[in-house]
Amino acid sequence: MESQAASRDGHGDQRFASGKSVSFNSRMGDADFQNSWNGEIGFVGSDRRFAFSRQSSFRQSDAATPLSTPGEQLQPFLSRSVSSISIPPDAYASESNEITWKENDTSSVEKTSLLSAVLFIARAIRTGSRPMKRLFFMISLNVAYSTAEFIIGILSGRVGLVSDAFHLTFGCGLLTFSLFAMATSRKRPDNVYTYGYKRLEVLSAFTNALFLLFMAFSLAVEALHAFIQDESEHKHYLIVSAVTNLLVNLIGVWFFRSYARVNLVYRKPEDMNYHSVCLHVLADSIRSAGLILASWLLALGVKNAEVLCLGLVSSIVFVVVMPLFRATGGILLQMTPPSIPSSAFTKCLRQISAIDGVSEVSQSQFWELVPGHVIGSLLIQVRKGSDEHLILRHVHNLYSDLGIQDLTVQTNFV
Amino acid sequence: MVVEFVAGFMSNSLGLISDACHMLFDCAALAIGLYASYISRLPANDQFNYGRGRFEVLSGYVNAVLLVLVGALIVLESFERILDPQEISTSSLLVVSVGGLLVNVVGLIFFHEEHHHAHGGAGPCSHSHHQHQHGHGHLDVHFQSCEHHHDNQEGLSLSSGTYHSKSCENDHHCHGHAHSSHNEQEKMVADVQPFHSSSLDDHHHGHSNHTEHFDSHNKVVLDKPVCKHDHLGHNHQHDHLCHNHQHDHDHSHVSAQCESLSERENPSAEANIQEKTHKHHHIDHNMEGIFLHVLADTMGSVGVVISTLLIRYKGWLVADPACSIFISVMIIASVVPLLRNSAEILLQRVPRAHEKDLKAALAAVTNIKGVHCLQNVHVWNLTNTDIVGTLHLHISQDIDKDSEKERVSCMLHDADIKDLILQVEYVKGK
Repeated sequence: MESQAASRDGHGDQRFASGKSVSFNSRMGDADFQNSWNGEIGFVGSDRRFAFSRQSSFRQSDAATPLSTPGEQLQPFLSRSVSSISIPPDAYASESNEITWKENDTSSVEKTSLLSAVLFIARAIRTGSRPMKRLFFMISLNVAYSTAEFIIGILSGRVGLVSDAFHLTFGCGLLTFSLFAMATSRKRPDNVYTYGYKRLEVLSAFTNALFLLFMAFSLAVEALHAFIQDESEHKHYLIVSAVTNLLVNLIGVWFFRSYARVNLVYRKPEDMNYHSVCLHVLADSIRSAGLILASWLLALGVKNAEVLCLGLVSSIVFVVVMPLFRATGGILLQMTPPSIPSSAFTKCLRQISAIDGVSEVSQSQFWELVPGHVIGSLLIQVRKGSDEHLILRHVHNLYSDLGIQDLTVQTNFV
Repeated sequence: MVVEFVAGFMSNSLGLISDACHMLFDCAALAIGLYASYISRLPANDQFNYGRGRFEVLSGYVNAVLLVLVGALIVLESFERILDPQEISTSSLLVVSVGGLLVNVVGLIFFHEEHHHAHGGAGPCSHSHHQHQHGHGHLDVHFQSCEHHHDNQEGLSLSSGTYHSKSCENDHHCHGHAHSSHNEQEKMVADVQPFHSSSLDDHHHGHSNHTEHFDSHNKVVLDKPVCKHDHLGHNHQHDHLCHNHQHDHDHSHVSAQCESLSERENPSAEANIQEKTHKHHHIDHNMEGIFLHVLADTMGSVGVVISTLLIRYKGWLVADPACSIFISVMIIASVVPLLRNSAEILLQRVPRAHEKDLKAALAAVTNIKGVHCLQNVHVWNLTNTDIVGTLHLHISQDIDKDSEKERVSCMLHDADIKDLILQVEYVKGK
């Protein structure tokens, strides 16, 4: 099917080539992953059949692409799409056994005690991927550091240290939420969350971004305070803590260095979460760097250095976080995926309405569950007497060319 | 806010400035909420295939998260204060806090009017009486700490609350009715209710006993309709409270209850009515978020006033942090249900209220002769009230497709899925 995409691109849609095939690749990986746990249900080897369909379509793709003459194309569609339609890649057999599994599923969802959550996270971390282990390491490092700071602050009676420790723990809470999202998102879809838990990663990225925006705002307020009050008391122990904090956070930035950029093309659901974690750590280190810079400038005797640095840091954080905020917000708002241009959708609609027997296409709704997983639904009015099954396959093929696998098409006779 | 800001700059007072910043933050949150409630009514377009109803859910979520963040920050800061009690100049603080309270009240009035404008466009708002019951049940939980405000309102509100008894008979009532019954609620707040002790957990459990609450409240029925705009700010506040709670509870459990009551008698007709009812609910998570925000502010001001008085007359320096901890814990506790609901919607969960119906409907569909299997069943909430479902139905070849489709979609419609896309495929064999 990949090659279909390629051939369609050859037909003149060159600009979609990169984005589409990339997103489709990730879908295929996804499908493999989910088939591995669907395996015991009886769809073993579906990816093999996929491979076969890919092969056959490669040969026929040239004939199959001009879609306006379905009459002579019927045979190839049939032979090809039997495999491609009756084996949607993922979440397939889940519903059929969900009905039998319902009771224990719901019960396991309902009980969410703290202990079980902790155990769950611990198990997930043990079996988890590398970024997860790194994040866990980061969090424990942060917690250890802040506890040390807290104890020192209490013992030496310095409130500044204690408050700094509190703030660190506060940030750690959100990182823990990210970790929880990573751990949970690997759970398979059940009958409560029918799309699986992957969206939790997007949600946690959004929450993280929101927190960072809030932090930018509060930094700006702090800058205003500093501007008005103009307290230039030197807090040397705070400098030490800022430097240590900066070092700790720089380790985190190093861990997630592949995500350390402002604009990122999200291909996998994990990308957003990792990006948000990276931005969080980055923002923290920027803040500590700003504090260090401010104290240095104050020592040099620059007026209003604190205001300057705080304002700078807050605006940097704001600018850095905004793209992530937009992207995650767009997904959560059920927007049409920005990775697929709207002209592609209109083109598809045109092609569908050009099919013999289709009288009207309506309610075409597409949205992105997680980055790289587009879901769509469509309502087609079909004239009496035409073979709706063929039309169905045709439509499914069209959209799977765009990388949309999860498609539901309702056909109504006029 | 601007006045406070300017005054703060003129007098170089830090307290005023920080309060103004807080105000700015609130205003931003409110602006987000109002913008969301405006924009969610725009029709669907290329970019938003489902319309923009999600804006409301998202803004509710944002508001909840921000409130939790602020609450947590306040708790942390109060811990610091406990560790290191600071001398507070009470006189200036009292002025600031009373000013803040006044501004908050003004904000509440503004918010109320805005809310009305926004709401008026949506046409008559019809709620079934079940929702009111729930509103009653929860009102006091939130407002118990603000009671001293309502003393001046008590006489007024005693004469209110006429139409509520009527609304018991007709299943729906219009806007005016709804509001007049809100005033009754205010009365109930003014009286200290026996179930103050019922904790916030009540939001989710044990709703069967609300009918009794309702009955007990309904004794306060007099015969004078009240024009709500004559009232002062406090009164408006109550209107909001009621509104928001209705919607919240409608979402989470009322509908299930209503349906189980009503659908027994006349499934299809009731389903239609239900549909209409749902259509007009436009204020939900979003408005609840806004409201909780305003409520949090007011409670914060009240707490500051109380703690200032305590510090001044009793000399308890711990009163200030203790008060703030108490208030922020209350805020967080009241926000958690909103946070959970909106997060569940954002995560495309199967609607909680319809879970059982849906399960039953799906089981019934699978039991139809000729239905081979169901696949890719996805049901989720677009907004608080709109439910979207997609489904692949595999049926044997020897069965009439159209009638089958009709039947299945009818069954699922009864399970309250409004927007259903059903793909029917033939399966060979069997």
